[in-house]
Amino acid sequence: MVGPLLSSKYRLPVRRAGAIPRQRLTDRLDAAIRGPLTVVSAPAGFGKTTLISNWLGPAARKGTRVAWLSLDQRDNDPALFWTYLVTAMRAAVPELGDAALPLFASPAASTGAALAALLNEIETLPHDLVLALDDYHVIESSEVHAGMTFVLEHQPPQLHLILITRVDPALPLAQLRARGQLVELRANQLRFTSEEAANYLNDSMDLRLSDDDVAALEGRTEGWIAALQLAALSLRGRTDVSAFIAGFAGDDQYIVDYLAEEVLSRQPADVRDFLLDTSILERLTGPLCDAVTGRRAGKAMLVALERANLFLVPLDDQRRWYRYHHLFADVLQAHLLDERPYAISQLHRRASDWFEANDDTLSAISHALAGGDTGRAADLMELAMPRMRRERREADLARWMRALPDDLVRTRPVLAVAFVGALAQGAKFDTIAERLDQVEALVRSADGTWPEHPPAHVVVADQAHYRSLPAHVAMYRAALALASGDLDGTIAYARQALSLAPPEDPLARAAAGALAGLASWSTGDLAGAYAAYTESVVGLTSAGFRADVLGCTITLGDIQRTQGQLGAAMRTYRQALEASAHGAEPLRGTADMQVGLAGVLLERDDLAGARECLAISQQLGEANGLPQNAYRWRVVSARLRAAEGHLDGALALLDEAERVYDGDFSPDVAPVAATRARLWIHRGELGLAHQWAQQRQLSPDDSPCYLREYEHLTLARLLIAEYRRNGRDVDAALGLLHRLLDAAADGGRVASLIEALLLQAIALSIAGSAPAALASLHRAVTLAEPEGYVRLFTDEGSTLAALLKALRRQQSAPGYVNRLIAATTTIAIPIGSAQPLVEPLSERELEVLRLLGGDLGGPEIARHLSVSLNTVRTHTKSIYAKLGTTSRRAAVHRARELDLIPGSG
Amino acid sequence: MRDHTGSNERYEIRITGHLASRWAAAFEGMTLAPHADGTTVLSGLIIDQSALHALLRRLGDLGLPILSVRTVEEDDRT
Repeated sequence: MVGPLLSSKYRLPVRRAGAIPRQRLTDRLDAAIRGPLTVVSAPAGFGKTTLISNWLGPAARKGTRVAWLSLDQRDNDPALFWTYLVTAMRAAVPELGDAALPLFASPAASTGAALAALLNEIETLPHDLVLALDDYHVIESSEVHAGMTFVLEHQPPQLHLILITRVDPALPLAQLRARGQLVELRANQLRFTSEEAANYLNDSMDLRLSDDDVAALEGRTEGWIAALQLAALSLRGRTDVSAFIAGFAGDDQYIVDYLAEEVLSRQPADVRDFLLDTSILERLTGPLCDAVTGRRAGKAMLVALERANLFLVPLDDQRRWYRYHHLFADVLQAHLLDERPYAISQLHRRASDWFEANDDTLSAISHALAGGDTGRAADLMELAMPRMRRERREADLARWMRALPDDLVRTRPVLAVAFVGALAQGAKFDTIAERLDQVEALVRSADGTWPEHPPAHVVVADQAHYRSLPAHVAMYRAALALASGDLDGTIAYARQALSLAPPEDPLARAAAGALAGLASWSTGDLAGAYAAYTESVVGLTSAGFRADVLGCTITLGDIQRTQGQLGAAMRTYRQALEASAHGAEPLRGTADMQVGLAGVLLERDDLAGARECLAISQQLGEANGLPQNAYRWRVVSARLRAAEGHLDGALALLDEAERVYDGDFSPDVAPVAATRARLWIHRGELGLAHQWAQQRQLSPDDSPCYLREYEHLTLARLLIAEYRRNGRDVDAALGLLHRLLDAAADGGRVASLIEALLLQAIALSIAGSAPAALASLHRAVTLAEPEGYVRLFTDEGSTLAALLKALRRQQSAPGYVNRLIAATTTIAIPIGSAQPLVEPLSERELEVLRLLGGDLGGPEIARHLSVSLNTVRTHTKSIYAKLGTTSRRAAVHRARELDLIPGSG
Repeated sequence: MRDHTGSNERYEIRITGHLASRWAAAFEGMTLAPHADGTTVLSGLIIDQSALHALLRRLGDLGLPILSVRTVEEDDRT
């Protein structure tokens, strides 16, 4: 954390002495708390905080746990807001948030997943939990509002929210109001009634005012509690009470000003100075006040002010931290600004120094900015930058960037490049090139070299990061090139960054490695990509970024699988799982490793193993998956469903995969739509597949490129299936496959090569070139055997089965081929191979058709399928109709011709 | 053509109550004019909508009831 969590923020405010009981309001609260949300909305000084905190006092709320959080401006940073919120809940219910808190702190976790985890935990509580958020009006972040809306939409019955605010929050209040789920306390209910005013002035403050005086005060203040409090303070020790009240009631002056003036004018000079000097502070504590005022005994002064009821609110039981009542602080600041404007920057400077010395960098920066000392603010920011970036404090960073003048940033290369990093992280690329140009123009010597030490005309607060500057500039140029689709530029800059990165900056190595890897991968240079990603993993590992290591591992596994190294990919996933198993919690990315394993197992036809890995991944949950996992899990599950013969289920999963697709900056080398087209081809729905190919503007004349390889192989399948259906020319498919083969062989993409060879074998076989077909198949089998590929073969249907049988006759040790044949004949058929039918057969009909090809009679088939004989007859009729036949024999014959069921040989 | 994006326009904001002139420093650049009807008019150039909202919010934080907000042409200043 940049600055510690303040426990005073999540402690229930100290009970205020002299607060009058407000039965009419607490009765409403007692009823309200059974519902999900209470909003207390009124301007400052209406006693909102006092009312709620006194009512929440432990005695009042037996059996209910109470969590409190006082918000301030900084909580607009979502990470900080949620961390505080969970911490506040844990102060009330210590066992809560064990699962959620690390998720909120993790830079890579999504807020939705973390909130879901938190709400699930609350749902298991045996008691109710009230959470009060004070000063909610400071929240302007739409992300925080969105998170709060999510909480309201999924609120467990145990949780009751109270929002205390000066303006109505940007939450769907109207809906809740319409559903009767919202209780509101507003200014009109909160203001003192005449009875309460009398009670306060005469009982609590012991002023012994006449009824007329009370009525005059109540009328003039309109029950505004802060004004009544100021009035009571002004009246204390006064002899001319009625005259004072009459004078004030007949005056139009802003009431708080009028009364505060009265109160201030009656303070000794040292107290008045203290009040004005310290009015610039959001929070006050003795030593801080001493530093700001330049005097001693700040602590004693605070105690005395609280005792004198001078609008000082204690923030903890030990009376260490206080704040002024907001309204009073505003009046004090107005006086300070009017009387001693020249002193203000120095007061802020002293506060900034004190916070810096006390390790609260954010407060130190706020005061430096408030005092107009942007140079100091920039120094502090530069030094805090690495931590800020690590903790993804993007809201604070954006505010900082707005707060500093451009001219100032331009003289500070380290800060300027750190800002570029924050912009790149948020994908805001438009000003990056210009900023990098400025840094280079500022720092680089005339001969283009980077001076070893900062030149005299630049300002550097963080010397260590100055050494990384050249590497960072190159790295962000690479990121910029990648964002604009310039892959060669990306690789060149990333390599430059790798060579420039100093050894003490492993993160720069990691980022440059990942950029080079990504670009190399996109161009199909798998060996280069693998080397670059490995570099990245080394950097990330030594920097301790374990979840990001898993992110790179997904890519390493993908690359190995494309290279046809199933065994190596399996080891990569397993090693990553072992290395990440040390922590108490599973690391984010473990779910992705399981999906990777499932993919390899599926390739080797270990369906049970794949199923198990997918189940483990699902149990680990969304929270343990990186962004790509949601769609990847569905794609592998779809392939498993298809392998099991459930094409409808597989297609539904692919549709879902498309909806949740998040490539997380990785190139989309196997688009979901292409996988779906493969299933359509499988089912004989060639029209749909044809439409897909047209939409993707795929043509057999395309020259091969790695990013489209998967789509081109899909197109080749489509061309072969179309040839089978209508006898169209197969040369186009063969030509395309030939080029794909060469490209895959050149790029070392063995998996693509095997697939292209299989398709070539099938196409050649259909075209009547049996010896050439067998030669291709032989090459494919030779490549596939060492890695144990099975699925690639079984997915190709019965033409390939026949070819494999032919190949077996040529082979001396046909163990692997036998395995492939067994797998092909037992599994491929129920899936249904390409059906050249106008109306394809359903899966059930194919099953019946297969049985019709055997020796079983109708009743036996019915028993076999556990259906009635009538159902079998219905299926049979439909099959005859679709095949255009009228008898069982003719249907079976036609089906064998069409490759729908295995031949009789 | 008049700019209706609300940027750099002269605004008049009328509030209930008289505000002492010392508050002028707190509302940077605005002039404060007390009126006999017990209201005060704050007027001045406001650079954009975001600055206007900040000013209104600040008045709200002080508990000053806002009666009206309007833009004025340079020549019909009150």
